[in-house]
This record gives sequence, structure tokens and C-alpha cells, in this order.
Amino acid sequence: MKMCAGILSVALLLSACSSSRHNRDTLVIGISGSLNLGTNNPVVIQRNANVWETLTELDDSLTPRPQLAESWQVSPDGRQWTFHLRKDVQFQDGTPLSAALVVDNIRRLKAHPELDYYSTFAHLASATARDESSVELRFERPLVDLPGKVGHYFAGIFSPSAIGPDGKLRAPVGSGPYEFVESRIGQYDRVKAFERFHGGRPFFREVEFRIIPDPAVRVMSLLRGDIDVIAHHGGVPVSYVPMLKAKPEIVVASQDVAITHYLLFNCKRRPFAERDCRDKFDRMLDRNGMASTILRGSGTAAHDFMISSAVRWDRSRFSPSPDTQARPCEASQPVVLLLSQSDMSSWGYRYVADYLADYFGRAGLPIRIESLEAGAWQKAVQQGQFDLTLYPLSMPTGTPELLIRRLAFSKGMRVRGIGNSTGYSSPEVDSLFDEAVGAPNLAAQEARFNAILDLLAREKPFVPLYHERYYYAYRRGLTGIRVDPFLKLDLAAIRWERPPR
Amino acid sequence: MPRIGIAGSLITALFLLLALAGDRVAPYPPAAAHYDRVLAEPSSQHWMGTDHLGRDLFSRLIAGTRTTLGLALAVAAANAALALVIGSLCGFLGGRLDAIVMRIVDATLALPGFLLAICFLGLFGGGIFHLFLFLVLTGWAQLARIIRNEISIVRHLDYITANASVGYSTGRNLFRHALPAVLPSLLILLLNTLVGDVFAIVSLSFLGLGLSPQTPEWGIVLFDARSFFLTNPWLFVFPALFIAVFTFGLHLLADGLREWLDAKKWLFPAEEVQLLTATASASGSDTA
Repeated sequence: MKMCAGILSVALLLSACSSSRHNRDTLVIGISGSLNLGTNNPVVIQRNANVWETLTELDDSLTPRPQLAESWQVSPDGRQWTFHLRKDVQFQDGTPLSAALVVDNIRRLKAHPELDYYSTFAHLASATARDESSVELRFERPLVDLPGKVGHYFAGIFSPSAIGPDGKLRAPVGSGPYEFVESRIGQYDRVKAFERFHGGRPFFREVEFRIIPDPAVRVMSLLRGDIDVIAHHGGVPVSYVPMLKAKPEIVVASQDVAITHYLLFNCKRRPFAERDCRDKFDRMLDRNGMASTILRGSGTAAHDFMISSAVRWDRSRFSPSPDTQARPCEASQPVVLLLSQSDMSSWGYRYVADYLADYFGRAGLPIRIESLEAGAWQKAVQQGQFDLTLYPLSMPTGTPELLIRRLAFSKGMRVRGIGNSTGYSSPEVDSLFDEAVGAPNLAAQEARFNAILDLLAREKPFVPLYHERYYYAYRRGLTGIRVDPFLKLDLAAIRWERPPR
Repeated sequence: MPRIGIAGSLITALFLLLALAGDRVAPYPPAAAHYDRVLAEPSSQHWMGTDHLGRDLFSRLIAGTRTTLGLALAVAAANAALALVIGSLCGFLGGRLDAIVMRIVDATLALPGFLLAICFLGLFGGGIFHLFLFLVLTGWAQLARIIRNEISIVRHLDYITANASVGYSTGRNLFRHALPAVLPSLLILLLNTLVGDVFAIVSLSFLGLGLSPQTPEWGIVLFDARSFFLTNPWLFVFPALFIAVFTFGLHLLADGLREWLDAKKWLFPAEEVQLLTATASASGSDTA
């Protein structure tokens, strides 16, 4: 009898361990790392948490569309912008959205440039509330792409009660469909439904972002029913896609997102200090071969710096196929391909690096792969302790500005003292860049940015390898799941069409 | 030697042989990619299948034996040398030196080794030198403490006291008479340490913190398999088997040795005790 009871207990325990989670009010999303960025970050929690909103947001073609602002106008000289705000928006602490509140938010970034990551308001002359729902911004010089710049993932608008005297957020109190609840280091970030969300009460009472760093474990958690969705950096590794597609209870979807993976050359160190060596290396690259052999569907060969849906910048500047006549420069010792450990696991750079090392090794240029923790990698890259590295970048403002700032503009990022990562310096690029960011109209800006991209396609301090095709997966019965070009899920749109039994 | 010891020796010898002459046994060069055979299942052509670059897994595991085992042996040897010198001096001389060094040992043992490894190798990068340095810096302390304890017992034994009384120098007494008495137990300890070192090297490489990702090494082969172990399980199973069989063999060898080497017989070599007792008696000492 005792034995039977023992067996029964073990069986119950095992079945409990393997049973699915059936709480239909909570959505559990498997993510690779915490969304909580800490209070030194201007928005504290990533956009994916759906806690805060921006004046605008970028659509699939990276064109700004309304979010908190219903519409906007610009003066003919490009220096004065007026944003007309929605009138039905409340923040999670009950404060209504108003022009004065938006002005406070913008002044916060102007007063604390270290929080203004893309230096949007560096040349702001004045910010005033013209009436209850109209904000007028005057700049010292034209800023023709402002609607894109107030829609990026560090440009959240927050309730004034959340902002401390030092300009930092005490807590992320926004107007999004979900309120921030708590973060447990290494475990989860949790948000709860904001009942008075202007888009209507969200379906799920709570959303838990469960931190599962290993992609294979995330897949197993989805199969076990511990999580409902996998949608974050890295998503579903392409190797698991066929297996997941064969499971009737799982839906796998893919989308081309606004992330391009670049190969960066160290332009201050031989052999890639020579333009000729960079050019030969680029011409030898078999982007199509890499896409079919290594990426196997998780990326498309890049023929330009930007994703093809960003049509304003796409000129097919790079060949996806290799020049079979080209030969690499000789190097006295193996060139170092330095990787960030977090990128290795999030973006599968380990396999891309293997491919490059093998491909160029056969051609006579030995490559040694090294890896460092993300912070140490960034420092090493800034100090030029590499020959080659891989780097993902998106276009958060809809233009190539960030790309050029990070990788080619000699002054680098204005804030946080980040210089450009390639060590490349060109007076022509600098001059064109200054003209582009202060261009009097979009056409002039586009012409200058494209001139820089043409020049960079010749100089090649960095080259695009492939554009990310992102795979995500969720349990059948959920609807409204779709990631935007920056991997954000619209949580307010997600609901159970047919909850699991 | 007991049977388990013989089995352990055979397994260990097989792996040593693979490490030394593996390149003659391996069917393919470990780095040779075959893009037409990516992620191939085990077959007569590739006994253990191929990885994401079409590299032969069996050849990579054989090459990995040399890397993993070679590094683990080097670490174990360096640890043993350091620990022998420090531990035996502290144990034999005692006093202030012993007190100070043992506090350093305490501090070293109190450090969370694996966490420290992640920080150290994450910040300074992996590679053979860094991995070796880290494993030696954190590995010597435990061995040194055990050797120190053994030596401090031995130094109070009569034959050592007798040696001292007849004028043997401290160095001669320590290195020629006390140290040999603890060597058998050190050997067994070293085999266990070797298992620990292999696990440390494999684990750190598996986390992407150890050797260069290109190096054929057991942990790196496992790391490579991470994205495929649900769909291509052989990439995970065979390296795991290599590691399991090797460590199992080492454990068997250590157990066999422990049984074979009668610790007391080695601690008190009968002839030496007799001789020393006689010498001490002849010189009128009452310590023999």
C-alpha cells in the first residue's frame, strides 16, 4: 500500500512538473535578458514592455506615424515644429497628457544631454505649450527629421511625477497599455494592465517577461507550455524552426526587421588601415553563400547598408556574390575577429564568425576568433584592439544618422563619449554629415546622407553582411501577435482567440 | 592493482593515446569544413555526424582530447608543483609563515571560483594562457592545504624527529623523507583534481569563456551544439559521452590506486623506520 502511495506521489509530482501553465489572464513571454535598463537610462524599461509611448512611432517602412501626437507641422525653414497631441490620453498615475507635460519632458532631455541619446534636442532654442494640446519647438538650425527622432526607443514621454530633480526617472510611469510592476534580476520583468489606456483595456491582466537566456531552453519552455511567446533579441534560432513548425500547438512566424549586421574593419590598424585591403575583403565576401549555408533563412544577403524597405537609402551598393578573382591582403599574423559574448548568443555570431574564418582561411587570410564580455568588447573596440568585429544596428530614427555616427563620423556619438567604432575619419564624411543633420529639407538631407553612403561604400570602413530575418513563435490560439521593425510586440493587441484547455 | 584500477588505467591510457596520436586516427582534419555535408547524421562516412560547418565531429572530438587533456594536465602539474612547495614548507616549518600562507589559502578558497572565472575571462578574454593562469591561481590553494596538513602530521612522526636529532638538514628531512610519505595520497588527489580541471575547462569553453571558439575542444564542441541539440542530438550526445567516459576512467583509476597503495605502508617504510630507530638509539636520543 505504502509502495502504491509512493508511486502515485511520484507520478503526481512528475505530471505536475510537466503540466502546462493555464492562467489565461497572464501572458508569459520568453526573453533573453531583462527589459529593465536601470535608472541611468532615459527610459528605464525597454519599449517592448509597452509601458511608455512616444510622440510618433516608425512604421514598417521606417516612416513616422502618429502615436501620442495626432499630427505635426513644420515651418518652411525647418526650424519650428508644432505637434498636436491626442486629447484622450492619461498616464498610469492619472495625470492627463498635456502640452505642458510634453514640454517638461523635452526640457528634461535638453537639460540633461546625457539622457538625450541621439542629441535630438542639442540645438533646441525653445519649447512652449501653445495651447492645452499643441507643443511648439524652435531649433537654432533646421531639424527636418524630427518626427523620426521623437519616435525612437529612447524618446519616451513620462508623467512628471516619475521624473526626479536630476532628470532621471524614479519609475517608468508612462501612458502605454501596461504599467510596470517589478523586475527580479535574472528572473523576470512584470507589467500589469493599465485599465484606462487610451486604446482600451488590454486583454491580459498581467504580462510576465520571463528571462531565459539560452535560446534552446526558451524553445523547450514554449513546448512545455511554461511560456506563451518567444519574441525578443535572438527570437527562435532558425535551427529549431522546422521542429516547431511541425508542432500543431505552436505557430512560428517570421519578419524582416530593421536590423542589419555589419562587419567592421579597424581602420587604424594594418592590414585594414589600407582601403585596398578592406575593398578586397569586401569583394571576396560571399553574402549569398553565407545566407544559405550559415543563416539558413535567418537573414538575407545585404546589398546595401539599409534594409530594402527603407527605399530612400537603398542603392544596391554591395554585391551579394563574391568576386572570384579577388585575393585578400597578406597579413603577417592571423587577423583578430573580436566578438561580444552577448551578441554571440543573441545573434548567432558564433556561426557567422566560423564561416568567415573558414572562408578567408582557405583564401590565405587566417582569422583568429576571440570573444569578450559585452562591456569589455565595447571598450576593446573603442580602443581599437581588434581587426574585425561584427555589429548589429537598426535605424531607430528612420535615417542612416545613427549608423554614420556610430561607424564613420569622426566625432562619434555626442553623448556618453562614444567615438566611432571603426576608427575611420574623413573630413568629407564629417562635412557632409554636418550638412545632412542640419539640412533645410528632407530632399537635401536625403541627398547628403546618400552621398555619405556612396562614399562609405567606396571607402568601406564597415560593410553590411546581412539583414535580420526574425523568427518568433507563440502558442496557437493567441491572436494579434506581430513584431514591429524594432522587435516590439503590441501587447494591447494580443488576446486568446481560443485559450488552451 | 584491483580490477577497477586496471579498467580505469585502460580508459585513461586510451584517451592519452588519442591525445598523443589522434591526428593519425582522425578520418578528417578537425577544421575541414564541408558545406555540402552540413549537420549530417552519423554515417559510415562520418561516424559521429558533422556540425554546422560540415566538420567531422569524431575528428573534432579526437583533436579536442589533445587540447582538453593537454591543458588539464598542464594545469594539474602547475598546481601540484605550486602546492607541493607552498604546502610542504608551511606544513614542515609551521610558525608565522604557515599562519600567513594559510590565511591566503583561506581567502583563495573563499572566492567563488566559477563566478570569478566568468568575470576574469569575460573581461580579459579567454585563450589558453588566460585559462591556464586562472585555473592555477584558483586551483593551488586546496591542494596546498591538504599537503600542508599531511606534512604537518608527518613532521611529528618519530622517524622525522629522529632524522632531525641526528643532524639531517631541514631541506633533506623535508624533501627526502617527509615528502615521499605524502606523494601517494597526492597522486590520488591529483587525479581527482584533473577531473575538476577537465570539467572547469569544458564548462568555461561551453559558456564561450574558455579557449578560442575555433579551437577543437570538448567544451567548444558542446557550445557549438547548443543551437542544435533538440534537432541534431548527436552533436550533444557524443561530446558528452567523451567527457563522461574520460572522467569515469579517471575516477576508476583514482579508486583503484587508493586501494592499491596502502597508505600506511608508504607513510612508514619499515626498513627506514628500523634504520632510523637504530641510529637514534645508538646516538642516545630518546625520540626514536
